[in-house]
Amino acid sequence: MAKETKEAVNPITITNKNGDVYILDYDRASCAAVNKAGFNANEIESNPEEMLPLLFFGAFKKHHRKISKADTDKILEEFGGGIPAKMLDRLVSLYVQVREGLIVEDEEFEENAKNTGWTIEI
Amino acid sequence: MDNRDLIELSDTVEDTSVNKTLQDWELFDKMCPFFMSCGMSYDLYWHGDPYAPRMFYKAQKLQNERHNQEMWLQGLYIYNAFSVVLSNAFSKKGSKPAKYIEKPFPLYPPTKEEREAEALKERQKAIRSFQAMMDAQKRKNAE
Repeated sequence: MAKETKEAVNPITITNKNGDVYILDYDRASCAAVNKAGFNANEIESNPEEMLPLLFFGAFKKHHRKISKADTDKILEEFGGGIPAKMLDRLVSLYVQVREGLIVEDEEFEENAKNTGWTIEI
Repeated sequence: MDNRDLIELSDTVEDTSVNKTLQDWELFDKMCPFFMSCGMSYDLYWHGDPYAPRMFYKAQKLQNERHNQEMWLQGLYIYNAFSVVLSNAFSKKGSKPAKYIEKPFPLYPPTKEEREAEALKERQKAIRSFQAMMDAQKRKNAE
């Protein structure tokens, strides 16, 4: 499906030494699940110890529903205890785009505002 | 629900009814019935393309516009029908009765073929009328 003006963020693929492939991606269900479990995107910087493992765990839920948090924590340990910066950026983008999907394009909003006599300059 | 509602719900993330910030899962839960009313399936909303709701929202807007146009057209037909009825009810005796339109209002401009066919029909009608006039004149002269 076309993404209108925004490019979709590609999922992350990771493979372990046994050749097991994991696709990390987010849909609304996995976002909601991880959010209910305590994840808050605004707290990544202030509380990374708690938020990052949850963000990482949630990204498995779309394609690998049966995986447990203990399993994903173990993978993180094998990574060296944290998430590489590039991967973190992508995970956050994957999470954020699920939210963005509900927001109407700015141009449309601005056009509507213009039709009702408003001008928006940012 | 219009664009502003969507943006308010997802951007300012304030639920005024309980005066607290909406969590993402609350926002998703809240928006789900709206997008389902736009024709989106439950499964697609929760597990499908994150941007799919925008398409359903746009489609819903088009559908609303089309429906509005249909209602307007229906009003025009009803207006026409009432006009015919009232005109016939209050017209003088012996006057030509008003008729309801024979064909639906055209929704699109006629094609080239339709325009040519219509012109041909008009020409044939004029020829027939002229011939009838000539025949009447001949009969009158013969008398």
